[in-house]
Amino acid sequence: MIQTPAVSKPIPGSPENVVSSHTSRSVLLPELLAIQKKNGTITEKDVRDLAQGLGIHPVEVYSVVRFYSLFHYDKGAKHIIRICRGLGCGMKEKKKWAEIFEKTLGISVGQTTADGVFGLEYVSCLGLCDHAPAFMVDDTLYTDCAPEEVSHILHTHRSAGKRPDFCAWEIFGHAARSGPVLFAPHEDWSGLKKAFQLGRKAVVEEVLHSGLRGRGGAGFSTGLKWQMALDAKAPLKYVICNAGEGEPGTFKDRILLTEYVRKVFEGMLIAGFATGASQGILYLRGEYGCLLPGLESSLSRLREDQLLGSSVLGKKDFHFDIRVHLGSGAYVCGEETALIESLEGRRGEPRNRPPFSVEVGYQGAPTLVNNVETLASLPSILVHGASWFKGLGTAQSSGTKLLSVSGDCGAPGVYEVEYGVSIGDILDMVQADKAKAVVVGGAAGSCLPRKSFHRVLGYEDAATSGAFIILGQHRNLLDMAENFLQFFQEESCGQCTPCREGIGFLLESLRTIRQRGLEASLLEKILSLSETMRLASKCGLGQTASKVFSDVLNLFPEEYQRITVEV
Amino acid sequence: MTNQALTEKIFPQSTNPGSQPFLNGVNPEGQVALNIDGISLYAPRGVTILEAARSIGIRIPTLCHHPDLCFTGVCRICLVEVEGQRTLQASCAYPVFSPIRVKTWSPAIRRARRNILSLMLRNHHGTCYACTKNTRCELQALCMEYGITDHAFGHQERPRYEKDLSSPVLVRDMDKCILCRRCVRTCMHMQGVGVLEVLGRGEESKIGTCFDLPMAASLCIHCGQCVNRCPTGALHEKSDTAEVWKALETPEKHVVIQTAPAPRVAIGEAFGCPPGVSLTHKLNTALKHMGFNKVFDTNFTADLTIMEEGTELLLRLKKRYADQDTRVKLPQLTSCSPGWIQYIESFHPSCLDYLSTAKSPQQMFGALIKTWYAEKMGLNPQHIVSVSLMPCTAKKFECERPEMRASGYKDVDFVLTTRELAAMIREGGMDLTLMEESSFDDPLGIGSGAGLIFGATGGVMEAAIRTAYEIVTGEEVPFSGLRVEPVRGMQGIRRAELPILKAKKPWKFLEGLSLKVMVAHGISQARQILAMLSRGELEDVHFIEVMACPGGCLGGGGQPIPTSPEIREARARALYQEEENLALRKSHENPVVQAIYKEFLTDGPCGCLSHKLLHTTYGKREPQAETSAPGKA
Repeated sequence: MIQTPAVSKPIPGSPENVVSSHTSRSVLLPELLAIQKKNGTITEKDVRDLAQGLGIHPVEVYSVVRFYSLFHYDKGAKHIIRICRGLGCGMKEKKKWAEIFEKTLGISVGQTTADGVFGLEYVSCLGLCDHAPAFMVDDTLYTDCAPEEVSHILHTHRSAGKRPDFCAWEIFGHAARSGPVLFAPHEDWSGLKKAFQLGRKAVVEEVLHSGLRGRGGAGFSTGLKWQMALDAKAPLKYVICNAGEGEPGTFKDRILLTEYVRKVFEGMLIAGFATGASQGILYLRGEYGCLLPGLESSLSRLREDQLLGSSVLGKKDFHFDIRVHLGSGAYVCGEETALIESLEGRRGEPRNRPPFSVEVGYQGAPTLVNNVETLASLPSILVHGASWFKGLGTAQSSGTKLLSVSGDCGAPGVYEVEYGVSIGDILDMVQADKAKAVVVGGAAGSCLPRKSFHRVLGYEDAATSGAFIILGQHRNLLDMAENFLQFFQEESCGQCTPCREGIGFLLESLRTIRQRGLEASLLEKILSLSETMRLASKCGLGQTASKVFSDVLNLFPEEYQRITVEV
Repeated sequence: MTNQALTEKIFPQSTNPGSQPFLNGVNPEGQVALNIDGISLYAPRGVTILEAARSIGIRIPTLCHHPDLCFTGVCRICLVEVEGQRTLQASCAYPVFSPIRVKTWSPAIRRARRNILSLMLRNHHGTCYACTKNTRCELQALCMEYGITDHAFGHQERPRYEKDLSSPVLVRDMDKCILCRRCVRTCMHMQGVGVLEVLGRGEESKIGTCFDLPMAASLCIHCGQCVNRCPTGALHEKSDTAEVWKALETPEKHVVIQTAPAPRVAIGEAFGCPPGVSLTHKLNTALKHMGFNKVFDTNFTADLTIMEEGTELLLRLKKRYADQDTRVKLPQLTSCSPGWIQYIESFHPSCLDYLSTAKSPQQMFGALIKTWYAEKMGLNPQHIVSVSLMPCTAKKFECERPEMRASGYKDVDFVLTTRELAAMIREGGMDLTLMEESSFDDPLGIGSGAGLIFGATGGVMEAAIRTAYEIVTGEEVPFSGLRVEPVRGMQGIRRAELPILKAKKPWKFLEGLSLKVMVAHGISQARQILAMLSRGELEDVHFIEVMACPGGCLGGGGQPIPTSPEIREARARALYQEEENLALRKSHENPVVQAIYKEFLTDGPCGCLSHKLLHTTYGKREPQAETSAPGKA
């Protein structure tokens, strides 16, 4: 009698063994988006058909549908009106858009009209803070509207189901201030040609020496990340451009992806060349859907010009192509491992690390994920050299940063500034003379009071992913903190305990403080919980969610009442 | 013990890191260097911090972690400090590939654990003393350990969810769920049934079924493996204890109980015994104390199953090899495991014809109690209450199937899981471990060792081989001590061959044939078997044993909690050990089995009466309509 040999159990999480079993699953989100767009809803039949087609359980598809905010299961409408409830829009609304629509349509937010034509809902920051307030009907963005225009807008969408082929982006794609790196004039593809001259290893060295750090917020050394991607041995590698820009108050990528899109693609090509990757994916947040046609046509032009495809620019051993992948409404997908999960057709839940994405990423292959702005910085760095770049900014923060300025100021917009500039100087530049506070870095950033306006922009001091929201003297900072906490509550993936449960408690506490003032014991709990959330959450979302609120409590005692309980 | 001695004790092959420089931190044997709380050790590359810490006796608390499941790192209780990392890391989900220095305790870690537990209590609604998991709840135990005595971060005053009582077997009380996702990983990855998933996101996320429907509308196979792994009282089986107590307290009822093999090697765990202690005869005494009129042994019908299922196999082989009938379905698949039956009915109905038509031992027993036994004892079947002690939650569903009324009555009235019976014994004021020993009652109290090992994966196959081989060749199986080793063990899928060199007269057509068998346990493995079957890869295989649960019945969904590979192995050892000591170890030699074919089932195995009482039919299964769900709690 013979026995067959044992099948060995793979080591969970080891790079050799983490290869996705459902390669085909990555079509799930695009398919769902297409159905959603076509029918306004996703039905039981759609879920079953997709599951069967992909060879997965229907509940897996259903779970994905229930994760992303742009999907509607069985309760969709022909046209969906999404009202931005980002802080920027909230600050600029003279009358609440939600109320205007509710009154006009006779429904509340979250409902659909009886005829199934219009659905009304909120959406997290649309990235139009500089033109606030904004709302979106299907893919069309509206800003600077008067309440009287509502019936006309509704009529346009209702009639024949035709969508106006107008995209607001074209109007909004201009920079407020140019700088030497990102918004500077650049001879197309000169950076890539330079990279070809230098060769792979030298390019990575150059990026290392430039001191460039991730512009998405975490600030990891780009060169080090590239080195790891280059060192990873695999037949197939990916470069992902993270355009999941969902941070409230951040809208810099909007400009980069319209006016400077060739720079972004050039950055991806350089990254692909330097790390030995052949596939590029631009992950675009779902709310930026109207940007898609423009990006697609740019890409086809590049393909025609032999800048994409095999032997890029005649370089025999370098083949690279880029595709755009549209997200489906989840802020957490800006986190690189959640982004990869989403690309693979799953719920956008951050992964455990190690292994890191540069070792085991998309479909198990080494995957370099860089922010749009990081990639767009690269062509200039290669053309002018690492030392030139290092000469800009401060010792620990080289180069320039794009700031998305919004809130109480005379000149909102996207500014390219050198690191090392003080908050006060920025405020002068954007015509904000009476600021009470500035939120640097958005909901995941920090809230600085007047006495900190001397602080300078940089990873070592006031770090930012780009958001710069100015709050005037008349603003209630608890309102602002509540808006952010609500945002996090909405956007938390809900996977880990500190983030899922902690945000809810902070929100309850904030409301208690508003009603009754702050007791010392509650403050102690809040601060202790903030520490736990910062240290114990699985990803950056939970780790930063409590920051702005605890800043307000710590730095703005005049914003709330303290209660002393007599013992 | 010194650190070095400790390291050598745990990893005897490893070198002391102090005496030899690291080769990039990974030594030639593929091991990686760790320093945990000042203790240096080498461990296999890819080891998690948690595993490494446990191996040197450092305890790190866990909740979402489970030894049977892939890691997920979501509860965040097992946090540790890793040198060079800004934030705390989940030790259960941190595989080590390069040298690492770890601290498993610090003030920040203690504060984080306390806060996380308090956060879990925020949405954990329910009263501990009114919970099935009271004193056995992992959340409760950790709260106790960390001194959580209040609801620092608030508490739900009202339930957020309605209890889902729609399933005939399982109760889902999502107010007690802490979203550790063990049930999801069990259902989705370990079993591959795919009923449960996470729905929604953020604080609104919850565990649910497809389209968020009640359990009855899902294709749940009632294996209960999710229950075995739920750390709280969010998932539990529907209790039948009240009904059984009521029957025991009704004088005119004749209450009999049959006890399956797997519970007797596991029930001790509920009374503080280490895993792997067999309490068969103490259990008999306890059951008699509780007032059962008769205590019978399911091993008896396990033997009967071998006769019926074995005969069925031989008949199929005859059709294939003697009559050259190519339509006969081979391999024959076993049919003892109701979770497996429901899986194949729901997901692979095209394979139903491969299943043996023999009922499970429980249902054969039920059918005989209300016919043969009633007649023999002069009892009105109406007054008999037939109870069974099972390691299984799916048995509760099985006994409710309309086909299971061959006696004209409900063949098995109530199924008690091992856990439920343990609770009843405690409620009866008994400590099982201190009971006197006593034997089973006549006439259904004789079972062979072959029937006993039905409780472990491979046991049915071993029992069948012992009998079939002897019937065909006239000789004992060629294994020392009747131990058919190739079908034993815990490997997910096993394959074995047994050449038949010489066959007796009616079985001459089998001479020269190699009997090919396979054994699989766990639905993921079952799924692989069915995939191979549909691809036509198993045409030369004759017989396959499939059990829905890992380890077979001893890892059943009704067994004491917790479970782990080590616990299941210990239970298996206890079963095989008990078997060794029995004189009767072949099903066909069971005198009661022989008697029943002589005086009752007179047309023999697979005969007419057998077919009526001991065999059944299967059908494609669709999700039940929501409204047909019974509502008992």
